Order: sequence, then C-alpha cells, then structure tokens
Amino acid sequence: MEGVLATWFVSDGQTVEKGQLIAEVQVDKVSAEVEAPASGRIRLLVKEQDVVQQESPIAQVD
Amino acid sequence: MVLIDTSSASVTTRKLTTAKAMVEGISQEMELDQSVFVLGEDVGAYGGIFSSTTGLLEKFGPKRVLDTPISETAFMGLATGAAVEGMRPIVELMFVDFFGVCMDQIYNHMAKIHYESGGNVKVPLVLMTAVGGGYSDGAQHSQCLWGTFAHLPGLKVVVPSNPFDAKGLMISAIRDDNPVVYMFHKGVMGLPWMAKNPRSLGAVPEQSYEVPIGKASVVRTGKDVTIISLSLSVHHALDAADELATQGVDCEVIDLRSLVPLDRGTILESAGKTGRVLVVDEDYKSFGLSGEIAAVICESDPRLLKVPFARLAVPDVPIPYSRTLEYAVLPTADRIISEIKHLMG
Repeated sequence: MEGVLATWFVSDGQTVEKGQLIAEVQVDKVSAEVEAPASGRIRLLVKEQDVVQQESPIAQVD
Repeated sequence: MVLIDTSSASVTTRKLTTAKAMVEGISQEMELDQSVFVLGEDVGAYGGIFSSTTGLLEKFGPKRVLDTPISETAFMGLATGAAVEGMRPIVELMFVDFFGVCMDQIYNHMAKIHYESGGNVKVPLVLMTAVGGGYSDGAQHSQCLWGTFAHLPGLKVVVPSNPFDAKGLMISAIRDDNPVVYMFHKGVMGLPWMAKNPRSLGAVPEQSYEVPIGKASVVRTGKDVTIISLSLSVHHALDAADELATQGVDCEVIDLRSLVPLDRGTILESAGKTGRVLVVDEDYKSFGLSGEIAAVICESDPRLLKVPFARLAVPDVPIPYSRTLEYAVLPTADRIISEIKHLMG
C-alpha cells in the first residue's frame, strides 16, 4: 500500500505536541490524518506530493 | 466584531485547511450551545463529501448530527421548522446546484417567515453548501449561484476564501438570528484529492472568534487597480497580483467575504483610490454580482473611475465537463492578468 503525503500541517524543525495533527496522507480518494506519536522537535523526511510506502518513516520527532 | 484580538500573544494558532477550520467552528459552537445541530446528506458517518462535517458524528452522536434521506425539500423544511421552534440548525445542501428541488422551502419560507410574522418569529439557521467548478464535475455540480441567493431578500450570504475566515464566518453565521447561506468553494477546502492550493492552508486560532458578516477584507493593498473578488477567485487574483507586481502594476485585492450585506464602503473607497476596477466572479456574468458592483459604483459617483469598469465572470453558458472547455470559461490568473493589462492601457 502506498499513499501521497498531501499536506504538512507543521514545518521542519517545529516543536510538536504528542497527538497534534501533523500531516494528511492521501490513499486513492481517502485521506488519513497522521498525529505526532511523541512531543519534541520534528524533522520532516519527505516532501508534500511525495509517494510514501506504508510503514516507511515520514518524519522523526527528537 | 472579532471577539478575540488575534494579534495578541495569548492566541494559539496552528495551520489548518479551510475544511478543518469550518468543522472546528461548528464543533466549538455545538459544545457551547445545545440547540446547535447539523443535518443533511452524508454529513454523519461520511463526514460531508467535501469534509465540512468530518468527525462531528463521532463527537456529538446521531441526535445532533443527522443524516437525512435524499429529499432536499423535506430536510430544508425540517431545518426551517426546527429554527422557528428555537433550535439553531446547520443544514447542508450537498451541492448548491441542487437548490432547485428545495427552493420553495428556502425563499418562500426560510427567507420570509421573519417578515411575514411581523418580526415575531426568528429563523436562526445556517444553510451551508458547496459551490464552484474546476475539477470536471459537469454543468449540474460546478456552479456558484451566489448571485441567485443574494438576489432574494431575507437571506444573508457569506462566502469564505480561507481557513481563518471560514471558521470565524461559520461562528458568526451560527450566532446570527437570521438565515445565513454559507457557500464554500470546493477548491478552497484544502482537500487532498482536489487540485493542490497553498492558500487553502493557513493559521487559525484555537480559540473561538467571529469574523463579522458584511465586512469585506482588503487582502492586498495597492494603488493602480482594484480587483474585487470572492471565494476561490481571490486566490487567483492574489496570484495575478504577485505576477503583475513584477511588471510594475500595483494591484489592490478585495475579498468581499459577504454578499449580503455587501460592504459598499470598502468597494467605493478602493475604487476612488485606484480609479480602475476589475470584478472577478466565478458566477455567471449577466444579472449578477459583477453587474451589482458596477451599479454600486455608478449610483455613488461614476467619476470615481478613470477607465471603464471591467468584469471577468463565467460567460452565460453551462460549466463544461471537459477540462479544457471548463478552463476556457472559468476565471483564471492568466485571464485576470490580461484583463488588468487592458485596464492599465
């Protein structure tokens, strides 16, 4: 299964709270919201419109 | 009246799409006021086909988020009746194009009960509906029709173009004691499956706030020419203004935000400043908003304009399904640039 990183709601380097909405991934005509799994500084590993595989990392929270 | 000072440090904002900002506005009002509820086709489990009600069923349950059968005339009547009895319904007409089957409920009942009752009965409801084209949905799913609704006395009409206004206008519409038609363009919602539009994502305060109904917003100041627009066309106008700035043309862009009441003051002030006016309207050209704005200016003082008034609107044809033909009739940034160059001589 693959999807497209449709929207980043946060910027690279921003501080995020656990549970905060960080991204929307589009799979066909369904979109899935991604919440921050932990609090900290976020590094974005993919760009908007990039195709991402299921289970592949899209960001890292330090 | 914006109830919070959004420039103050105590306000927490984060980026939201227009759709999520709308839902947040509805949700906060539902928490505040038990009389607010939502009804319409696919507003429940589906979350609204353009994500205008996503998550509300899970949060508030089926007694306050009602999926209705496919009978617009029945559920428009239901909403009007509920409003008359003291509830504050938000009723979704899935596409504005479907108004034909429920227009008696809207313009003979919803819009006129307050007048017919000598002001004794209020109809505090929000009729929210998806408008606009640009994604090949054909002639019966792509119209704007705000001119049609604004023409009828008894209805307020608001048309947000961005996330901040979408939330604030929704809250104002819910709190208003009059029926308010809230028209959202599918292209400004920030939906992942529609054309990517960076202006449909923006900073939105977490707190509740109102954006006043009837107040236009000058979204870009300029001295050479005024572009008066609304909804998705505001985004195109801002893109055109960015491009024209590199060519030495300084555009002022006005986002009307409300058609009823219409902010005539802001229109006249800007027309007087630049002396050149282009209206960009995704609704049909004849007998509509663009002609109304020309009349507003002429009735005040035609000498405000240095060059003849110009308008870019959908020529009086149905919106084509074919992508190429569709974009041949919709207002685009390229077409705005060409109109402005003509106005500048």
